[in-house]
Amino acid sequence: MTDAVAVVLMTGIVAYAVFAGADFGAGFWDLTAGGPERGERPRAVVAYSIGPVWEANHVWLIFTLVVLWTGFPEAFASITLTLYVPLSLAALGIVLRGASFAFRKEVSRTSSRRNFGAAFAASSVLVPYCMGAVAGAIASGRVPAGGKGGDPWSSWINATSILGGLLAVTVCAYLAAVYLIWDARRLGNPTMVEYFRRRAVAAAVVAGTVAFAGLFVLHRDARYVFDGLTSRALPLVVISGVCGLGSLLLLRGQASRGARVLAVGAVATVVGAWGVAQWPYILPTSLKITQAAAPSATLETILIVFGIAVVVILPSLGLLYVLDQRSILDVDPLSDTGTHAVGH
Amino acid sequence: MVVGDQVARWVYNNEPVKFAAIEMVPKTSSDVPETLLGHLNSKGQVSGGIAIPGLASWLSDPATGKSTVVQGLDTVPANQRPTDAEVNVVHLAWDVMVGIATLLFLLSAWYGLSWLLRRDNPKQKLFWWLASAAGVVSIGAMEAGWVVTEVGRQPWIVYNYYKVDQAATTNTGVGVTFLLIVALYIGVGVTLVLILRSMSRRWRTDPALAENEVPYGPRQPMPATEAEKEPVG
Repeated sequence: MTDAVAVVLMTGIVAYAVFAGADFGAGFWDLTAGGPERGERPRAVVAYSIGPVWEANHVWLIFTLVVLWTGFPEAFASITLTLYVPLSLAALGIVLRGASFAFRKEVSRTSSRRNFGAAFAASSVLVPYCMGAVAGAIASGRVPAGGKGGDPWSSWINATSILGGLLAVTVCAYLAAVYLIWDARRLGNPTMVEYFRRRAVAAAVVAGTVAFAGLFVLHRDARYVFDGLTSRALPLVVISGVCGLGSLLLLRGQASRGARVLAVGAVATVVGAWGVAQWPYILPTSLKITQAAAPSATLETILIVFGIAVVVILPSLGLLYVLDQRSILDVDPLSDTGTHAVGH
Repeated sequence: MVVGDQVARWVYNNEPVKFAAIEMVPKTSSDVPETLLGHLNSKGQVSGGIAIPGLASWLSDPATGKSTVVQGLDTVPANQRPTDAEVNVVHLAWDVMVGIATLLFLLSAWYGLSWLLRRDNPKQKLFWWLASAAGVVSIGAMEAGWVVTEVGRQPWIVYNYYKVDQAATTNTGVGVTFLLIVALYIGVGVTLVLILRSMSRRWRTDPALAENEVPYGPRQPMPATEAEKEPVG
């Protein structure tokens, strides 16, 4: 049962990476779109793309946090006490990002729009970096067991955390660029399709390179996870690599719909691989999942609630994504309704 | 009001000490008066306020009426119940919450009477002033309710199991994090007010808005796409 709850936890993390990752990545492309004139059209695509679902994706973060603290309270205490700096930065970034995105729509002066846009875009990069750094801190064994705090600085400013942060930012940018190709296509804007296609290819190459170079960092700095990635989690690593290469090939050509599915697959498997690699530890190599687990009554409740959530919440989220993809939620009826009914 | 009455009785049965703080009852007894306002003085006795004889007992269990025994603060050691100062906060917040709720009820009754007798909205300007204030005031009532439950639970974070000072983190950085969060929310709050004001200015001079038309207000037949969008945005 403990393992089942750990799988639920990992599912939440993967969903957050795939859904919210694309949102954060869209902010990255907003940040790098250039001055007000040059960046106007890409920014319009970004705003169009994330408008209707821009905060719904944080349910996955809340879900992950709740499962972590109810299912594995000791690990939760250790993680939050050690990593309160990047976690607080991420929380502040999420607030600032949402507020600036909403404010930017309502102000008319160019200078205010630029300031809110900058706050939105900068926090879109800050948040995934912090999340990646947290993952790196856990993977490299810098979070001590026992519900006590480790070093508040060196725990997340180190080789593995920097790797995790960079990987998170590049992966988000990659996912977002791939999604934005379709949004630009729905808007009937070939220039922007090409614009994001080129960026998706570049981001794929960068993310792949960071991931590959990361193996050397893990070899030196997070040996247990490295060993896991090259044994237990090897199938997932291979699938992730194949998906990544496959989507890259498709992106170089017509960027057909498969590229998006493969991109999601590549990201989901790489996050999943991290979880499998540090099995059976929740904090490698000091706290096992079974040691950290809450009493069985709590775990049962989590599994029941998860079951209810699957039945109740997934269909409504699915509907939201489908409606969003079909552009039914949009004011602007430019799109070719119905041809892209597949959710993210 | 029915729900509030039920919940208060739940507190009476399950968290008697919090109930004693709410009703400001220093010593266990029957025939406990309902004290409006007032406070505990330095000797821990009720001082000031308007006492309605027997009402607290009667509300606690109407079946036994005035003879219902209400447990007092003195039944638990001082280190396991709210301090006198905390009791005063809880009691005042309770009065504020119930007082506001009562006024809101009277406001609804005013409207109901007007509709019953004249089939029309109340004409009095005072009613519309009060109705405009009701939104903000009801948030005040909600916050007062939070004060009742959070101060009333002191010193426990989990009633009878775990105290707040045992649960509180001893980690470094709490002060800095707190200040950052306060600064962020002050910034976001001030920005929000400024933006709302600028939106209001813009709309007031917007020639595109017709007479009597309100931004985000009810519109004549809406296109279906707009109607779908509202609940999500």
